[in-house]
Amino acid sequence: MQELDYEELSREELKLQIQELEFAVIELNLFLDTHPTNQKALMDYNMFSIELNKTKNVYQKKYGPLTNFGYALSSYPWKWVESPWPWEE
Amino acid sequence: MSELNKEMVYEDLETEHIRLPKVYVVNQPYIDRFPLPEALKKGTIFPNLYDPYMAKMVKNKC
Repeated sequence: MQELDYEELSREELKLQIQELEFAVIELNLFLDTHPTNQKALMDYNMFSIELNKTKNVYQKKYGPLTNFGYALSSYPWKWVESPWPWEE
Repeated sequence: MSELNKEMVYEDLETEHIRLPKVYVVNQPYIDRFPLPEALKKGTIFPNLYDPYMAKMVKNKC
């Protein structure tokens, strides 16, 4: 996987990057459920999870929380009600 | 189905030498991954599971 500088990405590019990584970890999650001792798949799962966390952190630092209910911190003032929400253009 | 009925069914099968259906799946090897943008579009990250439905292919088989 190429090393991307997530700080350089636009909001739309970041969201796409998060979607791609979330899809990858779900796929590997399902594979590992039935192949729990496959080390290569496990390494890829962990690698993508780290990348996913990085992209989410960059997104949330720049554009506000991706989720509410305590899954992401908010700076002042309360960011969740600030447009746009993650699913909005 | 009651226990009595079940026994009757299995006895019938045995005398007729008919086997019950069995399901199996082949173990999926971890060989390769699609690049992530491609995986998201194709709906799977695994090339060995990528098998989209194509009307053309079905026609050829008929």
